[in-house]
Amino acid sequence: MTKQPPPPGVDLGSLMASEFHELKNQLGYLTLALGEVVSRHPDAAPWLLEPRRICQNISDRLVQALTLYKNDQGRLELNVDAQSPAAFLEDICAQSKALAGQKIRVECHSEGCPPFWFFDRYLMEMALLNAIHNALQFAREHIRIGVHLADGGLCFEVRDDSAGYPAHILANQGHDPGRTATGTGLGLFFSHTIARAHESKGQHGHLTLSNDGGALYRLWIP
Amino acid sequence: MTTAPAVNFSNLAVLVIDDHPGMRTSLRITLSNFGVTKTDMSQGAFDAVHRIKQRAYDVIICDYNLGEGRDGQQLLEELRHGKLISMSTVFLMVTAERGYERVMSAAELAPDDYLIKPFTAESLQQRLTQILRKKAAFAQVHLWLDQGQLPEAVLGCDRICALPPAYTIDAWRLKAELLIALGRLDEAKEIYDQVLAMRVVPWARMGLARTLFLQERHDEAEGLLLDLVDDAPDFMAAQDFLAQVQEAQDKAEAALETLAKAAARSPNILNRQRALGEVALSQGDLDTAERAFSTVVERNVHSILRSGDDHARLARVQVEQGKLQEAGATLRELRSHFPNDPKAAIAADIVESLKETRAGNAENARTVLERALSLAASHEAPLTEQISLDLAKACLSSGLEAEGQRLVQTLVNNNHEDNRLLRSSRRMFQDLGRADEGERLIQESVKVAVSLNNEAVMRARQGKLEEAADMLTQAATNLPNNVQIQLNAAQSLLSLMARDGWSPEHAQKVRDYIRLARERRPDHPKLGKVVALQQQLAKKFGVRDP
Repeated sequence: MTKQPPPPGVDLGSLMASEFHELKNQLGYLTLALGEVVSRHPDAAPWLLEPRRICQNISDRLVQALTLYKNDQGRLELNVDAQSPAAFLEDICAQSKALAGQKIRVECHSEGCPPFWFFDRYLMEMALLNAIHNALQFAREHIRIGVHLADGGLCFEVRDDSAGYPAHILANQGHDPGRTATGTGLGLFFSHTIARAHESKGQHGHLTLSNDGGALYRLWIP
Repeated sequence: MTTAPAVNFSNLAVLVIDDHPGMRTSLRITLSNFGVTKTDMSQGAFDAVHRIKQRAYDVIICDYNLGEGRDGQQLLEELRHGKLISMSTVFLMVTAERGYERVMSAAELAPDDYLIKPFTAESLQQRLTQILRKKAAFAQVHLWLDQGQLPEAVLGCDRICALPPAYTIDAWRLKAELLIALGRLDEAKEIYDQVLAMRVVPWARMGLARTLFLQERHDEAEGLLLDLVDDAPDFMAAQDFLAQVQEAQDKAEAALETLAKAAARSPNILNRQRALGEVALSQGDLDTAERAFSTVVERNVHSILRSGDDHARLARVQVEQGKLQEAGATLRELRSHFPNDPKAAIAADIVESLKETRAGNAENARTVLERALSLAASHEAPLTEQISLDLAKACLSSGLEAEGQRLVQTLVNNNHEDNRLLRSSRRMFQDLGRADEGERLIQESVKVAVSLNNEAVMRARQGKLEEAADMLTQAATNLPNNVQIQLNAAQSLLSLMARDGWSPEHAQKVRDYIRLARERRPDHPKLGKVVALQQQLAKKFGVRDP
């Protein structure tokens, strides 16, 4: 079979993008519906936690893929505004605890962080939730989520008690989306992209991955 | 991590507005899971407005995309402008894409927060908790705002800034907007400059541009907006404002280009299409005007806010284009859609008269015109500027010379600063082949208004405050629609009272002038300053209700 070019006038990129968008919305309904079942039949919760987490994960990855596509097309625009890091972390923590269920303990720390900082709340939330998904998947007992001032910028941290990142991830630091089939590669590349997109007075944000008694994810923005 | 006090959801009255039945049910169940017991649901804007008029809601959760008719942002603007919801009401917008959030977050009337679909129950609960906490912190400020006590609200913002700094930026943003409304522009500018020194955020750039515009630093405002539009081409409010600034500078071509670009990008905003049509018409770009007004007429079918003005505008453009059959059809639609609206009947007759003139039926033209004139005489409500101008044209075309000239004079006297109207008036005389004569008439009418103003300002400077006040109150009576003169009259009376003491009669007049100005030009640069002066004076004399 020979490879067929797309028919003239069809922009496959945009077509896929709008298809992703629609799939994402459908998954949204499914996620909400599963949440409803959990709340109506609490005894079913242990069985539904995992399907719900998977739905949320697929939906998040579709959004990430869409955002990366936009960035690739030069159309990613940030909505940077003043946010309270503590309130932001509180929001993230509530979502993480719901995802973690009884199995994994979630700790949150925002002591001493500044009253406000400028960033795109939605994209930052996507990046961090993805890191938290990974951490929850590999953690043994607990994860720690934190935010603090560092080097004149704001640093978000996700730390778990797993065996740590594998060597190839530490080697490419999230710069390469294509290295794994588990979705970790895409998620870390997304974090890397979002960090880079935050810029102030010529300084860009960055992602640092290391092992320190488990995997340590650090997203720093100026 | 310190946990802030939990929010009690059980006493909240919540309204969910979404055109998707599954989403409505889902949201209701989710809300009931964290304790909300009173949830009403609407499938669209029309039903929502009806419910909101019936009872007060604490929280409104609204989908941005409401299908036919209005979108969530338009609904929010209608609710806030119409004071159908108080400042303490939470308005949470739900959108399917993050694009809207970006575009709208810098709007003057932004919702309290956004949720981007899909979202989890935890996320909804968190957002609501955080907004309700913020509302609690601003409760007193919002109360003052609802009662129109702006200076107190400004002090309230200062108090919030002095507290632990969770809401500092929110307080600054609100304070800057209040300072603009009070005409304290230098202070507002200081806040925007301060925020922009930290980070270039769109709302602060927009606020700074508004401040500069009101300070009549039009070139700087335009430069700032051009940069903003360049950096954020999807930020539509900046484009609309840019067009307004360009019009104020009498850069009609640039304004037309700005609006055409904005309308191409998002054709559904009807006010933008109207503005585009009017600017195009004032420059004689009939095709663009026809396209814009056609769009408005077509899309407006479902709106409860529609009026006959849009049909009248379209029909008059079609007459000028010589498309008399189309104009006839538009006028028939106008009459049949608004059968009991006298203003629509007058507008239809006026444009009909222009059409008959164009068709060469002088007698018919005169008959419908006379019908319009007698209807207008028996009808209280003033005609819009465009229809008045059309009436003038119909009169001048049908030999009612004195009536036509009087209409133009009144229009120009009352709107001597409105570049678009002056341009349209000039075009009308050109059209009638009487450009030179028209120019003289327009210039004289402008001069009447300007010299009256200048003369009075000079007397005031010489300390002859009574004379200045007499002249301006007389002028305000003669030119009831000239906002600048109304506000100058108010200011002259306030200066007089500042010197001689409080006078209930003067104070009443000031109130009337401010009310008239607010009705006609809520964005007039001078309005805030006069209101601030009024409140300051009332405070000085211990008058509770200025």
